[in-house]
Amino acid sequence: MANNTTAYAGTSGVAKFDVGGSATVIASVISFTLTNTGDVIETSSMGATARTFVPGLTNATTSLSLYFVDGDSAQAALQSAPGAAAATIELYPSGTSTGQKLSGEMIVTSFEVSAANDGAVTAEVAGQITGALTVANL
Amino acid sequence: MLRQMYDIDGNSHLVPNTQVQDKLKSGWVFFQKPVSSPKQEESKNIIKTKTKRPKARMRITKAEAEVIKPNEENN
Repeated sequence: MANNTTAYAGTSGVAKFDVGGSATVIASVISFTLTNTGDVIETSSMGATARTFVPGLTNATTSLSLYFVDGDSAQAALQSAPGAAAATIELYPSGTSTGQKLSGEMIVTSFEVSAANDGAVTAEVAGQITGALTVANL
Repeated sequence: MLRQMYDIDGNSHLVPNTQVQDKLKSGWVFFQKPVSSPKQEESKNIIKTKTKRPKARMRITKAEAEVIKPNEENN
């Protein structure tokens, strides 16, 4: 459709996770983060006066904060995912019709449920993207 | 970790994390479907016929009729 030409709020954000082969909207997402970093490899040698580097491997990690909804299939799939094979994660910062779709195969490294008597029960999800991260325009 | 899942027939199983996605692809689900009583299907073979009520008839003798007739004329 179209990319955003101005800054926008995250209120329309959507996150989806693989449930049996179909990308399914994760309920009650509070926030998500996707970090893509690139290693640098030093190539400075004797005689150099300034360090030199070449680009190395890239690495992407994700994290999601959720209100815990134990009746949601996507959250159930995430909860069951630590220790399992990678599954597709799709992140839409400005919704599924505009902006970008960030996707990749994610190994869920942790799913943490927190409950307190003065707040909603929440879940924190952390994941490691294996392979390339895909950024597509909607 | 083991996850409770339900097979296609609704039977409960504890599934290791590593098999959850494969089971989902096979049609297993995380949550038990609510049990609902099967709706009784109305038989399509029922023939609905309207029964006509016979018109009410007053049985009177000829002599009685002759008595009634002059009375109606008087009215």
